[in-house]
Amino acid sequence: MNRNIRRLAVVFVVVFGLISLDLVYWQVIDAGNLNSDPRNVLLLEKNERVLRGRIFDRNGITLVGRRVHPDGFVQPVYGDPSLAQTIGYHTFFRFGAVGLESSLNPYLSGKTGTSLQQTYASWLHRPVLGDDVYLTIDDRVQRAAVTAIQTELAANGLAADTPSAAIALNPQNGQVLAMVSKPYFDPTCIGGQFFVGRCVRNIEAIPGHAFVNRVTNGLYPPGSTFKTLTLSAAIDTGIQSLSSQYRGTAATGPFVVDGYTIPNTANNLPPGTTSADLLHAFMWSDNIVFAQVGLKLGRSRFIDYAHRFMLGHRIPFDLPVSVSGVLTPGERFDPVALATSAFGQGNDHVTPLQMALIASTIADGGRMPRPILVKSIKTPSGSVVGGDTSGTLANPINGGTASQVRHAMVEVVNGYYGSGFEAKIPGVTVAGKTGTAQTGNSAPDAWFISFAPAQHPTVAVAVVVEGGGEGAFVASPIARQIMQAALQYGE
Amino acid sequence: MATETRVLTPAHALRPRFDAWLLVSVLALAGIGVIMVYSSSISDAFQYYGSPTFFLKRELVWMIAGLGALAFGAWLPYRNWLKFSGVFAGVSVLLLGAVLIPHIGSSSHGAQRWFQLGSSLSVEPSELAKIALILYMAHWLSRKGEKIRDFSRCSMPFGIMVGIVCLLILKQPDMGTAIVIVLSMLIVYFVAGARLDHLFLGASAAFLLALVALKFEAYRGARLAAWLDPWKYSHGAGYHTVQALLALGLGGLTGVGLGNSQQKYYLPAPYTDSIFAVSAEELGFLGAIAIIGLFVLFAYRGFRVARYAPDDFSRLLAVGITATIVIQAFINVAVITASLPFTGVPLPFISFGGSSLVISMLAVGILLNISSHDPQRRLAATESDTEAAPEHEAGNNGRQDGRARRSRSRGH
Repeated sequence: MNRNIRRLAVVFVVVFGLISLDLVYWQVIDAGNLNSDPRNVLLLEKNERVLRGRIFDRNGITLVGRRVHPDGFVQPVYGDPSLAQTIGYHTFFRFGAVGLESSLNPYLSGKTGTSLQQTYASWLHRPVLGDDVYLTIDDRVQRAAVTAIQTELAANGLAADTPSAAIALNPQNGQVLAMVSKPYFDPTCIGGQFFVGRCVRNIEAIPGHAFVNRVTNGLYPPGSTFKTLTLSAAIDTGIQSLSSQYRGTAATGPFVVDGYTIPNTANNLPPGTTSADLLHAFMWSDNIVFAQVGLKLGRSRFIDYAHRFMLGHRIPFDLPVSVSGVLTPGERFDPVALATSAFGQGNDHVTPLQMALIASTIADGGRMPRPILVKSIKTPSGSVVGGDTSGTLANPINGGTASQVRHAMVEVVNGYYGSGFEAKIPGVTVAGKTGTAQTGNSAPDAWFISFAPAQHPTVAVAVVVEGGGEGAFVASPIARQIMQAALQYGE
Repeated sequence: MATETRVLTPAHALRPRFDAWLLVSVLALAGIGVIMVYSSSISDAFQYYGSPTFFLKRELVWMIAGLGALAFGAWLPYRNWLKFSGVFAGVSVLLLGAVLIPHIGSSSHGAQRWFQLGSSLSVEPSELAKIALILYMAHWLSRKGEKIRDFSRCSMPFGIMVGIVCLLILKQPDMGTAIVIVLSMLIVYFVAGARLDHLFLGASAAFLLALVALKFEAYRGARLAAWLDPWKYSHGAGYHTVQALLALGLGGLTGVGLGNSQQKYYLPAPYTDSIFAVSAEELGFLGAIAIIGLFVLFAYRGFRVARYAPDDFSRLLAVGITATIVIQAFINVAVITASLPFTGVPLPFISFGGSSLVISMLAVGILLNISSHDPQRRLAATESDTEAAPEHEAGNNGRQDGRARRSRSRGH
């Protein structure tokens, strides 16, 4: 009997040993995988007890604060609705996070925690401290942009909720100063909340897709603002100069390509004018001329320059950015497409961010800066752990080309019959380009891209108003007011 | 059963009259149990019963009753159980039958396994059946002697008796308890000296019975499938396993801290069948391994009591009690680590549960009483009344003489 009992004891010890090994596996070896499994709701709940980092503008104005509840839950507190799509929101449990709240989550939730303080907190089961984020956004410029859009929509008889987008950035370092996508929404009923269903439905009911960040994810035909790229390519390759002459029907149209007629109504020339050099064709936004410039460039050079300006590439940014392009999958890039794409129609589809970067490239002597939204990230103890990722995205054209295109853009705003006259700022030379993009809807989209001061630019802007009509009348005054604010508050 | 010719050696004068380590392991587990029941039941108690201490208060009452049962078991000389073993077994079989009758037994969670006495007291006859069967079989087998190897006079009746009890319990249905009973009975029979082929036959019969039971209840098949791939059925039959694994993962090495479990809001039965998962989450791997360590200590001391038991009845009784408790602990933990398909078995001494706790404590009391009949202990006890043990012989005590006893017990 006793021998059997001993055997039994050995069996039990072995069996418990095996089960302990199982525990070692689940609790020590595989714990990381279990904890990061997306099916693990607990992970989310754990996150809500993090003393989540706050978000400030570049001058330390609070954009997202936090409220700590007695039960330990930490609720982010949102403010400015015009930054709703950019900052995004952080929800409890089901709806996750979007915008910067999502892309910066590792910092805000203290997951990058290598600092001693954070390690200490995790050992003692204290709330983890998140890092604070300082954006490049200037709250004053942001508000100026919101006011400018509201004012100009009203002045032009457009509805207050007309979908539109505007972005301002510093071409020298890529820092985004303001970003507005209308319609926006009030994030306070969704961010930091448990029950967001009704709020989400209300936001979805706003006409015009308020959740979409039009600056980074709205894809529009750029209209004549795209002539900036075509002009840059033509000068940079040397096949054209600003003084290349177009006379008679070459300037006025109609122009026929592969049986497709571009009518003479598209020449946009001042009354009585029947000829133009390339500078004036750009100033007056002559589609007939630019269709020919496109054809002279040819398919491959045009596409090459589009790529140089980052079309067809994913632009690295703190938010997801839709890819702009001149090619549409499944559509042939035939001469008609080439000719129309050269003046911003055809297959062209761009984000406002993309157009702002094209303006920035001209502004900064042919160098395209990498756009950034984060100025710095600071730990609770105040040391800077990251943020500034500024740099150069591309060098699409040489400095000489850039200065000629800049000259053309200055003439757009300041020259005789220049389409961008509404963007003039007293005492400052502004460079810009208007656009009126046909979309197939009754009213075209109004565009304006610009930068100032022309000789030493510190701000570049892109504005689009959906169905806004002539870019000259709606978009350029918005851009002017944003530039004024940026110049006034600039460092 | 002759035990009086042993070579007795003096022991230390302060040596207690019973196995102290056994008592320590059980009291430690029970203490952890009270704390973990409170921690894991707090939200359910508040949500469904309006008071966060609802389960804690009841657990404390049961614990006092359990300690009383333990004291009673330790105080009552174990031989007294001999007289009642047949009556107990008969009564518990009757109760197992009665609980299946509608309106007499009460059902909850789709199982009919309780007698509802008053509003807050319910008794599980299957818990009673466990200990009654061990008492009866220990008595029955200890009288068989050499006949234990005889199929028709011992193995078959043994199988039939265990089978009847198991069928009644399976009918409730309560597969977990049936498995515990079958395994502990096989172990008792093995220790009693059964032929291995008879044991194998019994195990096969139990396995077949389990397969049939699997066919009868669809949920058992689903649990089996969910065991093989819990994530695939994480919203159905695999939910429990997945939530338990998540608890283990969240706990990690050092745990999230006492009271900080979040899985207790998601785990079914957090203060009974899933209490080990909550403990592992809050106390971490280190806490979980400590609980397992206490059960290993309990198993070691329990089997030691059996080896040093004064007669075959107490030896088989000690084996049966130890095995039953340790098997329950093993199944409960193995279910949480997804090593076994899901089946609801309480974690002895730790899970909330009245009948289970009181019966387990009574069983431990019986074990302690058996340990106090270790002839060596008795001598030590009598000597300590007179004078301290001589120093020079102290090194010769303990288990060295185990060999002599074993050969003797094999001899009959």
